[in-house]
Amino acid sequence: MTIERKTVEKISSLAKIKLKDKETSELTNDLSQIMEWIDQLNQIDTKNTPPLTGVIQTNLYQREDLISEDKKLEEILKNSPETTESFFVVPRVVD
Amino acid sequence: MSLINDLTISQARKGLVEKKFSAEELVESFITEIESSKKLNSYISYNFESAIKEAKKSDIRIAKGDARDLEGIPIAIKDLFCTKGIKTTAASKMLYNFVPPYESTVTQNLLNAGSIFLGKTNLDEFAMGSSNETSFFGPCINPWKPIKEVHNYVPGGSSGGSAVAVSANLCLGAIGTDTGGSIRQPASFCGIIGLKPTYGRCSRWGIVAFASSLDQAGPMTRTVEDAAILLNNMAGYDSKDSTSVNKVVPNFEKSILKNINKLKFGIPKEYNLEDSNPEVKNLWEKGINLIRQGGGEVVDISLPHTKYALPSYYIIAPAEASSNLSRYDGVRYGHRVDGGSLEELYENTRGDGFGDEVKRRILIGTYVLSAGYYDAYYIKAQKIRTLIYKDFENVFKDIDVIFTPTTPNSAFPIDAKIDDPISMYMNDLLTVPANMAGLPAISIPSGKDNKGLPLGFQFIGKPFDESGLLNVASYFEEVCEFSDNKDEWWKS
Repeated sequence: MTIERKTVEKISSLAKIKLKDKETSELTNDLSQIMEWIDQLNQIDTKNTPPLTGVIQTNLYQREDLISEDKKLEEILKNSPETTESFFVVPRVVD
Repeated sequence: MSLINDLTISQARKGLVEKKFSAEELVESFITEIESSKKLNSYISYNFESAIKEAKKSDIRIAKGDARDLEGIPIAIKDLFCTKGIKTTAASKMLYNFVPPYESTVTQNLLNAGSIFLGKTNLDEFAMGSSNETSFFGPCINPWKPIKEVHNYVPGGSSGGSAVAVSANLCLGAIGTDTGGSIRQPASFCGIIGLKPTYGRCSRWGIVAFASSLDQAGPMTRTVEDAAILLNNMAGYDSKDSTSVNKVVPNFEKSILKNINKLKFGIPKEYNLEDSNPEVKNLWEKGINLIRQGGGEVVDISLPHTKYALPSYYIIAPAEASSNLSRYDGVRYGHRVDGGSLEELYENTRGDGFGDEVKRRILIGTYVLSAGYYDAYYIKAQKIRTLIYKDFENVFKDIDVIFTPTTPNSAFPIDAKIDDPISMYMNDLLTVPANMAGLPAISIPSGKDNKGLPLGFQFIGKPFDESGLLNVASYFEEVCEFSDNKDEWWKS
């Protein structure tokens, strides 16, 4: 399937990625080629085939949601570009 | 002193216990080698100071007769594993300054066994690539290149830095991750061993996630025995990873029997590609003869959906990646580019922080998951994944192991494919099916092409039969007699 420029603009906005004009043009071209190549999958009839979400055939284990390591607040905040007290700081979202 | 860099893990372990050299001497010797091999760009960051400190502790334990399985063994870690207090970048501008407050389970297991981390190795950004050229920290360079060639060659990817560090003796062994061939393809390009275990064998906890239903950690080493030794100390159930499988981990070292007598090898006709390098085909033929010589049986098999594995992978992996990489928002860690609003901050950060290939894949993923396309692409790809899985299930009723080349071609020059995504994706044509089915697979050096570049054999096994693979690989390692004759042109 050919991908149009406005589709790339829409999905980059959904993915929250700002693109330069040149990037949008290049990606329109790249994505068109890639999706055309992917379209060969339509050669196979999968009407009666169930989808496979994962390869693990046994039951997945569950565990209690317990704190195993704590007192890491400072270490975690250290990686943030901007913090105040014990909070991450972002531009104002409410007036 | 430089001779101790050539040792295998098995030899070094013996040398340390017999006190032929100390762990500190071993680490110092690698530091010297790494510093004179900077041209290869195999490491993103070094951990030298801490490595020396840890080596001294190992020497004390060895003196007391209290050595653990990997006591004092210097290894390299792909910079996709979170290492507590050591910068972990995923080779992305997005995480250029990220210092994890926790340790991944696999690296914690390796630390518990006494190994020493020399540093974090280069990779394709967020493990997306087959040449190590998409790294924010610049391409890593293959120590192998044709004689008198001026251009540098790619080491493969995404675990290129780990493959190069092993191949150029800049560590005793390394670990990588494999989502579609990222351990096996660079292992093949660099003339070393690379093992992707069964999905669920090694914990994914603390590995920067790319495609969660496909990612798996594994060893990269100079010998098959060393791969077994590292895997012994990486594998195991982990309650922090919901897809970790609670199965007994056998002693993989004991599976190195070099014996293929009466084993049945499946040769899939679909892996015989028209445009494969003819030398790849010739070597494969030679390998088939080696099966017979060793008393194994050759069985022609068919995996009819092989050609659809790669295009369906390029739906599933980007879809999972687009979801996994949504966490990079410039708020909690990593790179940030400010904006007038929160929305602008997200868009500016992600527009500036991700490289071209990562953007390409996030957008493909977003597209195939978006309303109106979800069934046509994502569900369709998952259905094809079922067919690929069943292909393998069927053939494994009658055979023990599948034998193929690892890649259709040998390493290529830097810049040769970077502007053509599909031609780059083709590198993983023969490795992706094992990931789609979650099967263990190993690449070992099989010989060289007419340019003198390494080629690899791939063996794909039944679920959780890494032991069987290691045994088969140990036989081929012995009979292939791959010689590492590269000259050390990169040394300064």
